[in-house]
Amino acid sequence: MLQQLANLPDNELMARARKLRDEEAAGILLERYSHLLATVSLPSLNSYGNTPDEFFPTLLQRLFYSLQTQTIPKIGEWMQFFIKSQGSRTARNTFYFPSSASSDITRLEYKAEKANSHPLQKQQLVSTMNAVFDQLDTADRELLNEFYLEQKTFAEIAAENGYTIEETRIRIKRSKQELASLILANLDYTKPARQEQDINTGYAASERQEQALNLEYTTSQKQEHDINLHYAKFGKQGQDIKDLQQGSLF
Amino acid sequence: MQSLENKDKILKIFSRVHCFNKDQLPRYVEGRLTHVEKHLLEQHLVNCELCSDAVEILQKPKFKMQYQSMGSRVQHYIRNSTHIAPVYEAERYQRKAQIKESFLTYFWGAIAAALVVGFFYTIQQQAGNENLQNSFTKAGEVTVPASGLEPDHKTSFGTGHPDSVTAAGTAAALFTKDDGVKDTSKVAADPNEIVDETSDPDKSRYKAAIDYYLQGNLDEAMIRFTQLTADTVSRYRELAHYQLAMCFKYKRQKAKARHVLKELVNINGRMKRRAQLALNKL
Repeated sequence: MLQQLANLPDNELMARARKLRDEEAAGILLERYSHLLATVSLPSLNSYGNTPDEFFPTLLQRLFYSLQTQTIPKIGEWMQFFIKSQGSRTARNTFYFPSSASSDITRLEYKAEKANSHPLQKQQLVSTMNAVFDQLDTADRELLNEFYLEQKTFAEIAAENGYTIEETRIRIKRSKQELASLILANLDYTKPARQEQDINTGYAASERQEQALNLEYTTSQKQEHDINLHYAKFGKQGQDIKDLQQGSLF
Repeated sequence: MQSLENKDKILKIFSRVHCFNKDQLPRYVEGRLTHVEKHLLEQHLVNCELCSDAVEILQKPKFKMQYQSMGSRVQHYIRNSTHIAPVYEAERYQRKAQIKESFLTYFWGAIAAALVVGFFYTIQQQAGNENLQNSFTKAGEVTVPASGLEPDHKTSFGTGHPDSVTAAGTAAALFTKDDGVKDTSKVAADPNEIVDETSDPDKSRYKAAIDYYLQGNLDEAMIRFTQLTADTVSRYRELAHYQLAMCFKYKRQKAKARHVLKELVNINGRMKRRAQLALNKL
């Protein structure tokens, strides 16, 4: 059983820990990230009089409790939040909430993974992404092109542009975030419009009806457009969590 | 086809890459990675603040020294924490079961060894007893010819009258048991003297009496023993007294046996002590 659990991906282990209260799964997940947990905790152990014997058991207990109660879209961000709060001894009782920036990327990662097994979805996603990629600022586009398509390393890009490695990383991250936001906005816009078109063809019986429906369609399309834009801008987080909950199921 | 592949490449921007594992993290910091692997990990670093923090921290030598030890320490905390890792209950149970099994194996192994040692010890004891018996029987074989018995008479120990056998056994015990080695040597010495004097008529009478005694013919033996006891000069007088007392004893005439033994005690000879003992036992 332990061997089987050790081979499961993070999503499934988290789903097991939360839904089935599977302590084995939680333990395996924490052990999988124990080296990162230890490394990131090292500076905290030298401040505020934290000792490993006091620091780690409490931290692990908090992580374990959080695993059982929360939906975690990004494990790195989640773990870092708890390490920082435990290390600085502030906000110990606050819960972790995923940031909308990270959830945009996580959501697209999930869509890209899902699209690999659905050719039509893949085609749609690729065409949208290419279209949005062309709309990006030149600097962002070039940076993403160099890093992802030309496969240059941080060091190479930093040397070319005169940045530090950390600056390069942050710039790529921002560009990627920008791209993700635009892609999601476009995807949210196109999907309901296409559904409305399908409905429209079914009702095209007479010219009057067609005219009337077309009028209705244009108004409803406008409304949908507004709603989707609004959703894309402000209401993404709830949808993200919903998607992730569905995605984290088996 | 080429354009399609190029178009699909854009999906790579949002392909998911896992966090650094225990091995990759120090290798990335030390620059011991292939270009492909390094680029893949950097794709992950773009998004993951935890891993990029870890890389940044490990670039400082004082933290790098603690990486291995602290990692294993955290693992230890996870495994031993009762809150977090009932996870490893199964593993702990297996370990306990293994320890129990090995303990049982050692236990039964020790028991088996003890049994084997005990078995060999018992065998050795038995062998020792047999040796003692053999030496005893050898001594008997020496004394019996010394007392003048024929080979066919030797077998009468097993085939004769049960009373006579027990009587002979008791007599032998009386000769050997009470006085130990010293008396045994005396008993062995006396018959040697008897053997030397082949022409002595008392000796032949005593031999004949013992012969009858061993065959179970107590009456005939008693007649000869009485004759020998009457002879005050005879060297076999004391022995004859003793054997006569034994004959009375086995004929359940204890008063007479006691009387004869008292006479033997009064003679105050070499057989006095044995006579006294036999008297006490009656």
